[in-house]
Amino acid sequence: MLLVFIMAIQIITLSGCWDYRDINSVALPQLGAYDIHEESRSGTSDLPQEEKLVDLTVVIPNLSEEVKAKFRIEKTPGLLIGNSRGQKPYSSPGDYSPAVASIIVFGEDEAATGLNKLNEALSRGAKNPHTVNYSVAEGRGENILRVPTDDYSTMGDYLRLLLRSSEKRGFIPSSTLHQFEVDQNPGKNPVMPLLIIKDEKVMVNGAAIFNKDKMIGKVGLKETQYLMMLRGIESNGNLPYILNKDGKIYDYGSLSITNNRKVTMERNGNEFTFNISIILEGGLNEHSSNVLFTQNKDLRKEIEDQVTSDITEGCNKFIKRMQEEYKVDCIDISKYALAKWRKELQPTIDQGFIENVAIKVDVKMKLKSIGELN
Amino acid sequence: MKKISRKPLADDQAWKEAKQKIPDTQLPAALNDKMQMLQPYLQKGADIITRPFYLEGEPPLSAVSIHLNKVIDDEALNQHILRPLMLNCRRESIQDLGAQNLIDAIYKTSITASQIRKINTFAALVQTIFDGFTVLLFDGIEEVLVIDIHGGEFRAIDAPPAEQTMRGSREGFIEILDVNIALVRRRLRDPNLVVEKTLVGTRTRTQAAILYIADIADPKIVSEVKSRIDQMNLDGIVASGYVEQFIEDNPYSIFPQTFTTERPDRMVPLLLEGRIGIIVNNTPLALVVPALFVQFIQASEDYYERSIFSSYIRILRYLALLVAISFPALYIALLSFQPELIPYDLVISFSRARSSVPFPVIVEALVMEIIIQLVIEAGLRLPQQIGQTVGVVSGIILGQAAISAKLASPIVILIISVSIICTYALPSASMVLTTRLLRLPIMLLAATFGIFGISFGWMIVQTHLIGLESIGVPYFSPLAPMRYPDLKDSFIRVFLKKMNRRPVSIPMQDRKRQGNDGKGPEQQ
Amino acid sequence: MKDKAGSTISSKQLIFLIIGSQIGIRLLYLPREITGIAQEDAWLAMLIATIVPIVSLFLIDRLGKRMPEMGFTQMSQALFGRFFGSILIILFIVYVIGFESVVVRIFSEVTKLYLLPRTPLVVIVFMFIFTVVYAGSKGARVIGRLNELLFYLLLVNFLVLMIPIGEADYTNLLPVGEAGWDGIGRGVLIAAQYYAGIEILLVFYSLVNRKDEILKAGIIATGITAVLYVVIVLICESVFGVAGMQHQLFPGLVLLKVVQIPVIERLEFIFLFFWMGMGARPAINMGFAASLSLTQLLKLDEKKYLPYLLMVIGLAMYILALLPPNLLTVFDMARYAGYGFYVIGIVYPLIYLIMAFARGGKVKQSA
Repeated sequence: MLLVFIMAIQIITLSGCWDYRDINSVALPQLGAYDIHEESRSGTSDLPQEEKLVDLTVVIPNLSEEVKAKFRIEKTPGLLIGNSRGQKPYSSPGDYSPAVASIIVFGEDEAATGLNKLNEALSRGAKNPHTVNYSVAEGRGENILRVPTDDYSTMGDYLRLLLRSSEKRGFIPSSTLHQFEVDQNPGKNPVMPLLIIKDEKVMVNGAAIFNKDKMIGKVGLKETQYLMMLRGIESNGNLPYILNKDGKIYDYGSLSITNNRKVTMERNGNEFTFNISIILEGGLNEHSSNVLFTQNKDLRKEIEDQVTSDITEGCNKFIKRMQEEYKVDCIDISKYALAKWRKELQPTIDQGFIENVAIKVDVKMKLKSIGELN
Repeated sequence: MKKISRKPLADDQAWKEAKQKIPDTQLPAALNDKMQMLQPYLQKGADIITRPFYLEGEPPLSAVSIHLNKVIDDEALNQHILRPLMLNCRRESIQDLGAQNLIDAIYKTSITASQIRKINTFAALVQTIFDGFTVLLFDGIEEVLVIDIHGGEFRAIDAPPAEQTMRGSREGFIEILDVNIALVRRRLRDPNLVVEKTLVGTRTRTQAAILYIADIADPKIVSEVKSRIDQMNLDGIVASGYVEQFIEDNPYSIFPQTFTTERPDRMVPLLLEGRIGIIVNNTPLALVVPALFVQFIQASEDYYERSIFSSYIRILRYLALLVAISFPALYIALLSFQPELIPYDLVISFSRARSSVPFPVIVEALVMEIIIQLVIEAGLRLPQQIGQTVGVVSGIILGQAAISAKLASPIVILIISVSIICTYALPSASMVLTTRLLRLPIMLLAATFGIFGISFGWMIVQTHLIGLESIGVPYFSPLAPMRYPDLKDSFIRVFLKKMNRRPVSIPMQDRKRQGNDGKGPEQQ
Repeated sequence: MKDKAGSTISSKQLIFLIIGSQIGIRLLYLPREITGIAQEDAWLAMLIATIVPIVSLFLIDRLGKRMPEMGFTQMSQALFGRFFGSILIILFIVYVIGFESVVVRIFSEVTKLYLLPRTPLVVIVFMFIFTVVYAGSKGARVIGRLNELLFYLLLVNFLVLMIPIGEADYTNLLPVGEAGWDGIGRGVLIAAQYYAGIEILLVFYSLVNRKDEILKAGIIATGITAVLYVVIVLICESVFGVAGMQHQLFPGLVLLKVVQIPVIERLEFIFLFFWMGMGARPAINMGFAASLSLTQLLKLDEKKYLPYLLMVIGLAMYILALLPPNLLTVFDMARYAGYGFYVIGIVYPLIYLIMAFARGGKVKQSA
């Protein structure tokens, strides 16, 4: 009976197969770049309001092994992302399946105008994962896609390996769709890794600072490091140190460290004081002098102190810059104030809050291991 | 309790007709009259051997022995019946003793065969001849001696081919019922083991035995099984499979509701749990009811190995069941409906692999599935050596050829092969058939609705399984209804010492299996 | 009483039956609905709201104790007379059809959105109704067992929903109690609707074989449901933040998309396997309850006609589920259906009890 029923349903429904799409007729974009529309290349169909258009550039690997090119790059303009996808059928065969893309590169100019309108299409499409990695390119995003890759099969492969869990390898923030959305909650602001092209290669060069969905600044690699530590993104990275005595360098080297953050806060009327304690733990990679740690008990302490003062200084400088220049909380501490006085603070937390609070940084460095050499 | 709606019978039309053909009269005394009456039945049976002889005496008593050729043990007939009667028989005359006493004297003093009885009606005489007994007819005596010296040529007890184990006994059931019962009895010497013989099949008159342990098995289930067997009214029952189809609750289901085994050492523990065994003559496969779904995933070896290994293997088998049914479907669903659910590299390599195949995934998978099913079927029917060759040839050559002819991608061959291997990892042959059949509709559902179709298919199968009953016992127990104590012996098998009580999924009278509630006797 | 031998369920199965009627697709959008009102204190509202199903449970148990062997239909007709009793039953059936058609529609919409964007809604709804009718037609015993099994299977789904806990930020849950009594109170009113499903006990009371354990089973069931609800609210709140969650239509499903796990990449993968069971379960239970009441109302043989009446009810659900033009209307309908729970879950047993008190000893004779 069961079988008869199933067969009956089959007969009724097999006439449909509405959603059946053969995998070989599907275009599987690996990464995309979202940019402001370039005037020179006009649309393939009549599109409204030329000045508001965006360009969607995607890398689609070629499935057949018989063709020479490993992938092709497709660029279509549109009012927004969904509209740009709608232009694909004119220029490329294959059923466009955006849900498989794993990297999005935003152009710098586009990011400055606000990304929520572009993020929409990815977030609204129910099949899209919210783990797609976001990054900002210096200049146009599509240029990143067009950088020739000989050592990786596609730029997508390269960027995926570069950006996915990048914080495990260095002080590079990684941002996903989910984080981008969550970081726009009251009192929070997103950051994204910043990509540049240098010597025909794509590399990470710092971070992009956002005020909600609008990019407002870029910071270099060194500052990104402080940003990561202040923001409390747990990461592993490499830190150099230089020890001076009487104006003379007597030892230098590098440490591999992991960071951690604890925030406490006090309120006095309308005066807010945040205490950020950054805990760094790590081991020595190398050092230049042949001083033995067992003989010179102070060396370890000196390295720790040096790193502590370096980081404290850098962090304070960064906080100053944030409060004076960016005027947004990109180190994710307002949430602790919200956790206590949400009703009161929530309406004004994003306007003029972070500029007027006192932020104290306390760095603790613990050199836990020195490796196998003495 | 659910009953199959069939015509009520026991002594109904067909039986009566069959009986009416043979006049149910008393036998005459004279040998010639008896032979005269038998003549119509004997003359058309070339395999019926009538052997006239004389019992020595004054006057010699003429007698005839009738038996079917090669059904009885010739040696026994000669040694234990004919020889003593012809050579050593006492010489008392009929007149001296009287007919009644003479026949008693004959079988008490002369015949050394052990199974012997007397009958005196014609119908019974004819039946016993055709049932394979040796009958002795004497002149002047109405009663006839019936001697059971069944024998002749039959297969020796052999290792069960379909249920081989590493550690279990090497004995499997054979075609002869009495031997099979003996195999069980040798392992289960409980006086409470009941063996009830009955005849099934109005024409084949096949012997069947119902085995159960009187103080464990639930009498309601026993009587239900008996009544279902009695209700069978088919003219020919040649194998236990016939009986199976008649006693199961839901003949339209694709799930086996009767457990078949060819191992006496698999049957005995099942009897000890309160189940009922049915052995049919001429079939080396015994039936055990009520059957549960979990039983089909268990093998006898599970109980011989230590519990950790058997638990591991069992979990693997459940996994195999899942994979066997839904792996090809999953491939179709993921590739044609939800490519975003698989890692990107995998999608690309899948679609690269099948970029040269011109068919849709479902066609490719269906073609390979059907080819492989046919290969299995061909391998089963062919002689063993050729069968193996067919398997290897088709496995290697067909697969390679299909790939290079761009009929199929290597992945689909891999997927189908894995699901076939998983199918045959199941210990029960009937569950293997179910799996082979179930794979196809799930594949079609996947091709129509993707993962939603698989989910739908599983939901329907699951509901169907829960609704099934085997002789009124919930088939999917102990999983639904959840019988928590029985979970000890479902996905895993715990240490034997911990299984103090019989499973509650099978109704029984006596729950205690061992020890003093939790502690083995030696563990006081 | 008619032959009930083949259709009793154990009190343990009752626990799963009640849970199964309560938890369904609503699990996936409930955090948004409640945080929209009670803000960070949604979980508190969810917890306090258990009072409503417990009150309902007590009332039904009281009522059932007075007339333990009577089915819902007979009880109504005995208390209110043939005519008014029938009207009450018909209202109950209409409520079930309305409520479950909303559930089926939302589930079909989600299925369409996530899995089968181009398949017509008609077909998806048909698949759900088919499952409901197929499972429901097998009778109370099978439904009891099915709920038992599905509870354990769907626990897997629930555990999958808990994996994104690594993304959680506890500051999103703080401060506690800031929504105030006003916010929490209004939250409770909405939250209590998500415990709808307990009213199935009206019908199943007479089918449970051990009446003395019903109250305990009901409380355990409500407790388990409350724990699952509170956990899902807490996870959604801490992962998305209250403000962020308002953008998600189904925060429960988005939870699955925010983390990436090795090998199978996406969590939906596991989740979707039990999709059908999760979607159809409440509709199976309630649909069966409605068709059982209908057979009793029409005085038909339960074994023979129940599947056909279930088909009729399924058809009604099918048509009603396809009526609303879009998902937003369905959410509005869901809210109305939720208020219907107050009527069936609280008002019904209350007026029945009052009537029973008023009638006193006369009930038994007229029955």
